Amino acid sequence: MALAHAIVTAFSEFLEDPAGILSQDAPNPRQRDLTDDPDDARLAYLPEDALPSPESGCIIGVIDDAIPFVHQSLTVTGKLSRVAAVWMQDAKFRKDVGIDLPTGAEWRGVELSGLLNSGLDDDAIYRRTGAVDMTRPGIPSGAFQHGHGASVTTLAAGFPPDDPAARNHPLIAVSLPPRIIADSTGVVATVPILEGILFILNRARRLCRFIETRRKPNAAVVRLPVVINISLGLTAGPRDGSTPLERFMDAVSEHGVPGLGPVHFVFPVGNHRQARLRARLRPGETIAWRLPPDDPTINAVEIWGPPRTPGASGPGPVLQVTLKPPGMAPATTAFTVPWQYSILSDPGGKAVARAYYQPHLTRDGQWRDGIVVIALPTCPERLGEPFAPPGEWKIAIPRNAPAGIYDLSAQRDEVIRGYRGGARQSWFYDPAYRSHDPAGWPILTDAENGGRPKVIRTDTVNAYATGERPLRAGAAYGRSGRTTPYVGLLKTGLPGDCLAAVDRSPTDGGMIVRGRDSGSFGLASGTSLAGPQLARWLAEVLAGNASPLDRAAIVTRANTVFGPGQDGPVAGRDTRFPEY
Amino acid sequence: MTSPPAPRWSDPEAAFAEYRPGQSAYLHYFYDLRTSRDDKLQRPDLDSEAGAELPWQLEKALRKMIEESLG
Repeated sequence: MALAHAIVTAFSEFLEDPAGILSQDAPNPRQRDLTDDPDDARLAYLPEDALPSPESGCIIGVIDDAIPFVHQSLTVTGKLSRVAAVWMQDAKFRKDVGIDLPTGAEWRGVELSGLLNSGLDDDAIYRRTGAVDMTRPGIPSGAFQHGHGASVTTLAAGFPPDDPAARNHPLIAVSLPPRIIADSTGVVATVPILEGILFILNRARRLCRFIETRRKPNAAVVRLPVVINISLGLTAGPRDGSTPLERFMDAVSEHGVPGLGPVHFVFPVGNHRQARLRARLRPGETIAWRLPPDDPTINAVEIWGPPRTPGASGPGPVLQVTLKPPGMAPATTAFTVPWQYSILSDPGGKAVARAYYQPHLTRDGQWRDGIVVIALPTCPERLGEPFAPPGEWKIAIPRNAPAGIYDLSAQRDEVIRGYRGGARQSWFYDPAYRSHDPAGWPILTDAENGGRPKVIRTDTVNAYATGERPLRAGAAYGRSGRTTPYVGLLKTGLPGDCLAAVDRSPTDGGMIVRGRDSGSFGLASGTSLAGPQLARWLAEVLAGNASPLDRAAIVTRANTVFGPGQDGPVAGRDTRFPEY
Repeated sequence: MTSPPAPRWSDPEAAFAEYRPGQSAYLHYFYDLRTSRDDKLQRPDLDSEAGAELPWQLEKALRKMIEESLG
């Protein structure tokens, strides 16, 4: 797998950076295929004394921001790094390592071990490696004392340096561009995540070959399993496992990667069960969509129709959408073929929204209509730019649309901690939806809500995680083992495949997590923290037992280890924050 | 009682001529926003039905990416 070729051919559109997320000095001006020289000690993936066992190792991959790659919990005794490779996608391009990458800087374990033993403190190393560079535009996530990725990475792969298990879990990590994380919708993250997956698989294969040359010069090949945690998500999408990212991950897990053991992916199930971002309509029905004022970012809704079998003359009628901005009459699109877009203008001729008709084929060959509605910011970023009126919009499925259920979901749109932006969340409004009961308790399921509300809680799962193979992690209270109310629900109504303890109790939310620097800590919450706990457990299961496991087998194993629990097996209930 | 003023959808235009991995409605919007702010950026004029084959092209490209990446 030539990484440079794979990325350049697969993501040509993105490399032109249409959304403007990359820094000017990040792109690689001349990508070349990588030829690792095993005799070049500087390029070595891990120091000799940090190499995992060829028989009982399991590589942990993490894709996030603010990767704390010099944290003490990612080392073994002697300040030797367990980080085989870290790729900072938006760092200033590093010309002598990672020449096959399209952007950014790669650092490897031996170099990092040298820095750790050079007398520099953590902050100085982050600055030396380009993780923190305050002279560049944009906010470097590596500068955050308690960044999302710092918590996630150390939960997934942090061990006391003298723990014998540490050495068997090398880390390969990808730090996404800060502008990707700052955009809470996540809609431009797909390609950097795919690139990150390719990087982890590529370096994991090379690490296995590296171990073969160092540990088993005359013996069999090394095939370490890999568990990749991606604590990121989307609140809108088709949720049918058909997106390129989901199908790629399913293919990797199902068919395997030559030169590697089994590969598994772990995602958080999502935190938006109660956020009213999900609705279901039938033809002729309407839902209210409320846009807050003073929002400098777009608001978007995705509409996905019922799957249909294409007929002999093609897939049949084209889906349209009716949009009614506040104080205006309704207007219906007139799409004729896929991948058209139309701009909705107010009576004065100023643009307020646009819609894209983007049907796709599902994994089983059916046709599924899709429309993305993008409302312009309700407060323009720049003077003179068009803007959408805030207030209650209406979205309707025309009466003549094919029968069936139309799934609507609004994209997340809020400010991510540490980033500027001023984003404000839109939501669906339905009088039949009840958020709390008369006693003040939150209503947690559609069944408890009663009636037939168009706004639903079921199928609020992270839209990256609806493929057949990834493990979906929900969050539970550590003290009771009960599911936390914010956890998204699968189509089945379950709060994930497995759970992990995150919040301590309903009155004592959050968990203690590690920060960027060794010894620092903070408080955080959400299913993002459940994913890495389950990824860590899965890596321990796979270490030394690289037989393939599908999702059902993993859940069965978790039930055996943690007990079935009220809503599923709960990992981490007896874990205390380690004092290092 | 007067009826509310009517907004209007523009005639449909093709967002893309052919499939290029990574493209999306959101990226199309963001690129349009940038072109509106920068005269140097421009979109090519496309026939309104230029992207009709995109779903099938996407499917083909996805299979190719999987084969090349896992081969």
